[in-house]
Amino acid sequence: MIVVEYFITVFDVILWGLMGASLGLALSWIPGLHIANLMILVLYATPLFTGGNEYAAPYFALGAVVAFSFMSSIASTYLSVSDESMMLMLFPSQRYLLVGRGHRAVLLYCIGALIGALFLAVFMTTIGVVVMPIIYNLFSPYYWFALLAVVLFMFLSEWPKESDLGRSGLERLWLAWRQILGGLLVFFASGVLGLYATYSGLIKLEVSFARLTPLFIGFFGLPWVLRNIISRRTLPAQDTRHVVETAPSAVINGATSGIIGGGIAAFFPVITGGMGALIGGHMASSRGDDAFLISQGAARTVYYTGALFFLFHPTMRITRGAVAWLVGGLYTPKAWIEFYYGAALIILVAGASLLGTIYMSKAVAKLLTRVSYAKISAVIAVFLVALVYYLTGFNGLILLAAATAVGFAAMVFNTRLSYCLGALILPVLLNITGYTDEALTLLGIR
Amino acid sequence: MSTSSKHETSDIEKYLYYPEMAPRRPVNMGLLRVLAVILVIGGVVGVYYAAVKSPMPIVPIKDLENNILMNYATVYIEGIVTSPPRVDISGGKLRLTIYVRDNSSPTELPIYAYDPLASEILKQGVDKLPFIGDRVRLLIQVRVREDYTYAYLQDARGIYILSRPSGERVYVDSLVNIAQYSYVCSKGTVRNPRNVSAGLLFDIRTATGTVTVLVPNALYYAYSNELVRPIVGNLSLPGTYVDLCGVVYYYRETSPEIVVRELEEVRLPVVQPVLFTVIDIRDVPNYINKDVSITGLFYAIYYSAGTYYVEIRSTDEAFAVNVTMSRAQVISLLNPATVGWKTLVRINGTVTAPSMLRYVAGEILEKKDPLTVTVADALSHPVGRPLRIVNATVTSSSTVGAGNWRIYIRDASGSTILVFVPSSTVSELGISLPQPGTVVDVAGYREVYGGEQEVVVISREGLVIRG
Repeated sequence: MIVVEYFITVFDVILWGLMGASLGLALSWIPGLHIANLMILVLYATPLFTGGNEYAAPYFALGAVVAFSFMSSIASTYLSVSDESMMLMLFPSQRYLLVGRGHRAVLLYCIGALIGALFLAVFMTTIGVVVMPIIYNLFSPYYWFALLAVVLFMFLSEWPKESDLGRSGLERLWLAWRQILGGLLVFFASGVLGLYATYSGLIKLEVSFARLTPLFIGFFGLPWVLRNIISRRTLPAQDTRHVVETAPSAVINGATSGIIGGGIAAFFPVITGGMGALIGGHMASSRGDDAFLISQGAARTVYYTGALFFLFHPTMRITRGAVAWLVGGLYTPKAWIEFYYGAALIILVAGASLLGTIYMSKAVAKLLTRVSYAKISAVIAVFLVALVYYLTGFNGLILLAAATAVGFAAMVFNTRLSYCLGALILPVLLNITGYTDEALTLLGIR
Repeated sequence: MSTSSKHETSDIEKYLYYPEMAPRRPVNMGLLRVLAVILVIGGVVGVYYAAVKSPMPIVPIKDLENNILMNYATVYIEGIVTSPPRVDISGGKLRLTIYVRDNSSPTELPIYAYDPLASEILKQGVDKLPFIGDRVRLLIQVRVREDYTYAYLQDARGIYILSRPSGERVYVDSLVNIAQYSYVCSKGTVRNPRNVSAGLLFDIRTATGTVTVLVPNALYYAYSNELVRPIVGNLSLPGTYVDLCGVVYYYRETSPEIVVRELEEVRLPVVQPVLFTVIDIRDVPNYINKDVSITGLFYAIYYSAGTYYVEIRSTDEAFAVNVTMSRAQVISLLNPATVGWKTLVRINGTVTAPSMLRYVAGEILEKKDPLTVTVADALSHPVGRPLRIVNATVTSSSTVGAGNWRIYIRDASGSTILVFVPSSTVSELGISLPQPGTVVDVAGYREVYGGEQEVVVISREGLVIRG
């Protein structure tokens, strides 16, 4: 305790946290930069800002992650590029964008994000101090059952649709099951690509941590950018007044749903923000686009920030998420004072990120109505491909192409994008059930 | 994009959903779906060809250590297993731990396998179990923490035993100046056996010195109970003569010991009744301080101050002697869960008092199944009677003292009895305390303690959870 206090002061925490937030705000609006990829860049940059002080890494990362939770809504709303946790947000936010209200979608999202950040900081430093270690001990032997249950829930909740539209029995059968079969195709194809990425030498060892980057950009980024280019989309003029249309009940409902979903995603391994939001939405019975966007803001903030903030909890000792694993490799906070510093930093950076995101949204909304959307999308596509090539080389591009095909399939079959998480879930399920061996033999890499 | 060729957008829909936008081109979604399936299949096939041409590399451990960008990397490593494999329960799961070192780093890499993989590896026997001194190639996934690096085994087929210490049976009387990972043999009498977290540790008094031996607990899981129990039971007895081989391991770099790699390499002397004078059980009082061999019926078990007293009766049940035994001896020969009341046994031992023998060896001559009774019947049986109760329901349970369990059970007879499971048995059960409502089978011996009627369970087979 004494040693830690000697090395870390309030001034240090604020300085490191705001540096991380600045970098996060500066980079997170760029589409296709998943938080894990962003964190690699952040950690490369950390020594430049902190002089190589390892104690700075957790606060620097926390600032960057909170900023990412807010600012990534810009790319998701205006550029139709998202990571998997935004999959439920695509259609409401696009709807807002297409009627000239993209800025309002961002504002609603930010309301949820701010509530999520405040809740996280207050809950974790009060009730959470006592409750979270108990919850951890209670659930830790059953994580994998929870994961299996979520996967089953995702499939079971997609009941047959459109079965009344066919003219013959066979056509009705096809229409009813088309979307589900498409989902299965996406899930298993993603899983196979995940196995190849994990259990072969396709990706260079030096960037092992980015082995899923080509897949994630392929699943969640490139198909939407290509769609924008092919469909030559244009955007209407955007209303950039700071106005939102919602009701207190929708705010409460959306925030509750998001906090539940984000909390589940942060706590259970492999379950991501999108999957958590799906469950949270059902639990809180959310209705309406405004509640939905608010819930997404809350869910993503609680998910990303919460997963990293668990690392600060001195008695939980759990590591959740890519960012926590990266930071934990440098320095894991150990004292209660560091935990409370972290909570305060979340609130501080959330406030700063709120302002930054609102004004960035305004700027991007104005820019996009003046510059060709297709051209911007083309630039983004080139950037994403270049990023994958830079990080993972030629083999990464092969994975990117295959993953883009899977993301495209998800789009045209109108299935949940979260089925693409088969890339993460299928290898884990095979591992915990003891069938990795057989799967790798079947795939020809054993 | 989402507009189907079969569905024309109405003016009001255009007004509501696409204000200020030019009409969208209709798209044939059916064609796109077919195209998507073709692209997915083509993409997976392309990745397959790229993957088979990019085999998983073998990576020096040095490149993995303290490199946070290696987190979650799945790679092969190649090196020497530096300590005996260890099995324990972690987070409610069976965990196998091994340590590997290669030439690139002075640090050992801890490698873990959790269930179901751990059980799968152990089930395949010692041929698949990375053992001390083995040169191995392992498929692992890396985790890098602030101050240490570790890894998880990925699957059983990702374990390659490249070479293993072996050779002629070279007998040694001491391990002084014997190199680590040498394959050696030793023979002598067992001294100072003790259970340690890594397994069973004991010394062998050889002709001219002492050799320390470890039977790693991983072997308990790699072999069947029928094979493990008699060997471990005998090795737990001071004075047992043993002839064994294994790999030399320097514990903490300083204390050499032989680690038994295969139970087939442990040779125990066969029980030889001929060395003991065969007498009628009624003649025992006449053979004080003599080694004798008697036959009789396994009748009761009593316990006092760390010693078990097993009552053996003549076949007409009129005359009884007590045989003093350790817990390991009782479980290996007369486990109440498998050997029943009135089983005919031969006991070899030394007569220490007119009706008392000190156990040396024994064998089952005519086995009877355990006496299965209801709870009500059990209450009427005398103290010491070995018996079994099946399909009883736990009504309450608690942990007392240093990890002993007190479990109350009731069955269809409507009666209730206390089942006492001592901590020595609890530690071997590998299960958590049965909760009320759990259906169990119980085998042990009758006892009365503090005025309370109970059944004492002394072996891990004596408490079986049915549901």
